[in-house]
Amino acid sequence: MDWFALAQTVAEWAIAILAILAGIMSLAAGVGLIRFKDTLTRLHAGAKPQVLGVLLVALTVVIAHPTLPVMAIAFLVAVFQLLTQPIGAHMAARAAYRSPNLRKDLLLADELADDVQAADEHAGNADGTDKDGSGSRSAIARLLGRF
Amino acid sequence: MQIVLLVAGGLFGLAAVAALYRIIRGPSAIDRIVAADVLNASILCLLGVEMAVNQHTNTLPVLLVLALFAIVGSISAARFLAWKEEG
Repeated sequence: MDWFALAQTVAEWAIAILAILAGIMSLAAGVGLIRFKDTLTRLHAGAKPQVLGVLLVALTVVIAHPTLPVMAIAFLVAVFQLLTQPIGAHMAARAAYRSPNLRKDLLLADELADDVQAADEHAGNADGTDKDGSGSRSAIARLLGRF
Repeated sequence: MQIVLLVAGGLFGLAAVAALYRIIRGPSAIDRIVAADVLNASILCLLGVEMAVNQHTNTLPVLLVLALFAIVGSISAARFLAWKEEG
C-alpha cells in the first residue's frame, strides 16, 4: 500500500471539505447582511465567518503545506483574527447601540438599558424622572465611556 | 481540485457581492463598517483557499497583513461615530 499517495488523497479531501465549509459560512454572512433588519443582527451574522471561516482557511493552508514557517504564519493569522474581530464587533455594537437607527422594538431583552437606569438612580436622580433626557444620555456616556 | 476552487470562489464571491450591496445601501455608517469587515474576510478566505488548492505560499504575507490591519479601519470609524453622536 502506498501510504504517501493515501495521505495526499486524504489531505486533498480535507482541503476540499474545509474550503467549501468556509465558503458556506461566508455565504451565510452575506445572506444575513442582506436579509436582517437592523445593525445589531447584521453584526451578529457578519462576525461569525470572520473568525470561523478564517480559522478553517488557515487550517487548509497548513494542511496543504505542513511546514514550520507556513504553520507559524497561519497561527499568527488565526491569533490576530481571534484577537481583533471581537474588539471590532464590540466597538461596532457600541456605536450601533447609541445610534438613532437602533430598533428597540426588535430587542427581546435590553440589559444595558437596565444598567443605565440603575446608574441614573445611583447618580441621585432617584425618582426616575428625567425632564429632557439629558440625564440618561450622560449615564449612557458614562457607562459606555468605560468600555 | 480546480472544481473545489471554483465552488469555494463562487461562495466567497457571493458573500462579497452581498457585502458590497450592504456597503452601497447603508443605511447607516455602522452597517457599512460591518459589511466592509465581511468583504475583507471573504477576500482573505479566497486568497487562502487559492493558495491551498494551487500549492503555493506566495500570498501568505498578504493574509497576515489583511488579518492584522482590518481592525484599524473599523475601530477608528466606530470610535469616531461614537464621539460624533455624543456631542
